[in-house]
Amino acid sequence: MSGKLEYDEPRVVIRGVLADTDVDYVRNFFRRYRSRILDSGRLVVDFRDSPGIDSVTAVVLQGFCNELRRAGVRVSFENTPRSVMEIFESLSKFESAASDFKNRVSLGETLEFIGRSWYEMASTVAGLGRFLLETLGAFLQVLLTPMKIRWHMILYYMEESGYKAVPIVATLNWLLGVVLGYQAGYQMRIFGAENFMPTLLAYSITWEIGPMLAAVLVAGRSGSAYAAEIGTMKVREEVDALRVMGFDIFNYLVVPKMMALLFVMPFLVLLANISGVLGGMVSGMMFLDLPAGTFVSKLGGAVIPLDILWGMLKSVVYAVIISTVGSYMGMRVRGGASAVGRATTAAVVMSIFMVIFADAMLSLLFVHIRPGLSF
Amino acid sequence: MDAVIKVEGLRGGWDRLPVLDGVDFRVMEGEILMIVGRSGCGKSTLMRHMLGLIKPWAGRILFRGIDVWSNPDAMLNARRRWGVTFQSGALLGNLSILENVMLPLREYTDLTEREMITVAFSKLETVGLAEFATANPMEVSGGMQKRAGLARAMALDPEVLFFDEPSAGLDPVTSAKLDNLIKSINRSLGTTVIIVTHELASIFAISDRVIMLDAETRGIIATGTARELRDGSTDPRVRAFFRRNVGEESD
Amino acid sequence: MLKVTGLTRTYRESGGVVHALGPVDFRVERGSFLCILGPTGCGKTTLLRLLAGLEKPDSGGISLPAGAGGASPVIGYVFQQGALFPWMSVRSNVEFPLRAAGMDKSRRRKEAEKILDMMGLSGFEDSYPHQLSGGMRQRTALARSLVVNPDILLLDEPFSSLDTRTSQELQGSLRTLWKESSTTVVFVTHNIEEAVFLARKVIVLGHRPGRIVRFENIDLPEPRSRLSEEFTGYLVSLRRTFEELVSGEPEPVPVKPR
Repeated sequence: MSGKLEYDEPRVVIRGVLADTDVDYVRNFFRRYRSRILDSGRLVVDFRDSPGIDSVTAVVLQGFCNELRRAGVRVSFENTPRSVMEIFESLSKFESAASDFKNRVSLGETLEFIGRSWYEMASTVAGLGRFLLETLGAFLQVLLTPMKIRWHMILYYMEESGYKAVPIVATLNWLLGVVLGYQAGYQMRIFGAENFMPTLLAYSITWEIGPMLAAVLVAGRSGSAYAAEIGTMKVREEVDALRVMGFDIFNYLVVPKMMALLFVMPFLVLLANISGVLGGMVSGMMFLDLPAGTFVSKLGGAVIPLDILWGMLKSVVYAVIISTVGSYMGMRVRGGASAVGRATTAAVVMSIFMVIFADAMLSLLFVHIRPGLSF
Repeated sequence: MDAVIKVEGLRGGWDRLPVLDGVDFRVMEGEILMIVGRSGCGKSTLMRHMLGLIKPWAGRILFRGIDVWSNPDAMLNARRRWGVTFQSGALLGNLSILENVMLPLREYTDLTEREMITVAFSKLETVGLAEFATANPMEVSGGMQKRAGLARAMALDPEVLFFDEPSAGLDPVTSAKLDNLIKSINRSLGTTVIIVTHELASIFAISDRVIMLDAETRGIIATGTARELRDGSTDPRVRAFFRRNVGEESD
Repeated sequence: MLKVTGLTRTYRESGGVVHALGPVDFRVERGSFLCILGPTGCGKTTLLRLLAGLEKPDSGGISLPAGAGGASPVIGYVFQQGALFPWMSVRSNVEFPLRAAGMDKSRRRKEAEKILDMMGLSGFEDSYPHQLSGGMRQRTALARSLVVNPDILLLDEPFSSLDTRTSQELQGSLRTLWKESSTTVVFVTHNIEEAVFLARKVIVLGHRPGRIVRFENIDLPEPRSRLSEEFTGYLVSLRRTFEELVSGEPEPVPVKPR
């Protein structure tokens, strides 16, 4: 790489073509000779042996020349090819613009950004509300005219969102049951209270963790899939095609997804509960010397049918949230394929957020209806 | 005149579907070469092979004498020296137009932020978009998106510029403006240009040489200037292609 | 009669309000063939979507030609990329809109058969959209919009992504079908030559906000020939209007600091 620039006071002679790979070389060269150039007070950049340089090196070269000029050096160019002149002219036009281009985010803009984010959030929630109302309207209409129920689509989504989610829901809840059983048991043993581990485990799984984890998994698997499916159809104008043909897109695209989730979610929650408790049981047997029989009898004393039922009931709410948010984010897609990607992410984040929010609200209610819970 | 790119005995396609079988040609320094043919003739596939997006089944693609598919360094070197403008502009929607143009500079050079902005601005000026630098690609028209894509392709002063269907989705006047821009870049900077298109107006307006592909023969059925092919060819496929609508060329 | 009065449409975007269309006024008689011609981004697709009821106008009114016996009109719409359902065969795609009308299975099949034959799609009934060429896909899309016997047929640059020869074949088919029917056709395009070949009337839309800059009756002897002098005359004159439009004003886009 050496030899492309040569310093012969006051001249810098450029030999051959300088390309974007030579940036470091140029920088080092000027650093090396900087003090000598400053001492001499003159610099002549000579292109007599060069057909030209590209814009990337030009911008670096020009940066050094300007810096030297500011330091009082007289800089001139000789034998500059016209193409290089043009590059320099064009670059110098934007040099000063570039320096005050970035770092421009003022407090006002930050506030504006925050304000706009809140506004967008609020309008999303409002839109979601309207969307939910319309979906429920279509839902009722479908219930009143059972002819219109698209059973094959519902079965398809039940398989996709329910049946295919069984392995992951069962495995993860089982694992969580094992971990929870172990950690709770370990802490409780300090107080000699490990016999209460099954009760604690059963309550935390059936009240919270089972339904919640099932909902989070379904939101991740199916909420995103719904957004992607409808979003893609939107991008390809298939949704508009359906509308023009006179189809009710809520009935056609949204209701089957919601119905399918309403059917499968309670069972997924049931499955989550069972595998979680089984995990806890394994934990108890392995780490706490709790025989399975004792474990089960402890459960029998603690868990009432309402505990199981409540989780399944909550899952109905989650089913509505996940299917509505997924479909709504899909319907909101405008533009190209990248918008679909954004919509799927938004669908997952938003539905998990809303599931947790709804869960918090429902827990307040639960405290009042479950016997033995209020203080 | 030297050949910048040589394609030798290229066989290829996608998804095991053969599209090209025995394609040979060379691209000369500083010319505007157009690869033309009806939809499905394999012109886009050919370009994808050349750009290193799909591996050819057989044959070689030589850039300045080195087979770009022979090793990763050769491919990297070629990609650095080539600029590509995709059909839709292929700009990243979450970046401003300026930041899009800065992408290759960021990837391949050690320029400072400020230097990159300066270079990017000057490239945008070349395509007449300097004042739209801060706009989001989604906010500007299709023609401007393509010009922004061109500015990005030119960021590293490429030796060869590739265009995939530059006129697709543009109205004829905007398309003609883009053609003029391509030609002026070619003439003033000496950049070699390779364009895949089926648009007769562009072919007659700016091509130096034309290569015509055909789906059935899976190869080149004619080469020459646009006028030679229109007036001199006896091949009915070539005649049909070049004489479809005289109306559009009359002005 | 298709009548449009004082039609406007704006979009709210994060950068502000974009005035996309209007006000636009025009009327064309029933059974006519109208081309809406304009440069990229002039709001012509918006106008078409408003006609189809896919979007609501901010102001103004649209009255579509009434259907048989004064019923509300049946609309056919052909999308730019076809918007065929990828999971359905050609036959199912074409039969599909008849389902919304509640037609029974055997009649659906018969109607679809008829139109597939007419569009030269026999033999491709069981293919899926991704197995077809662009031209065949748009034929299928056209068949799907025609199977309902539309009173008004709306087409959004349906042939713009096809090569010239295929697109001319389809223009020919469309024109023949139209001449044999009483359907009112509104065809959106940015291709001047296509507009002159197809239309009885041409409306040229200018840039944002889209407004009518020219209204032209195309009087050409039938069958139309692209080589005739009158044809070229229309072409040149419309192209001139077009050129003034595109060069006259800078491309109006919101520039917002990020």
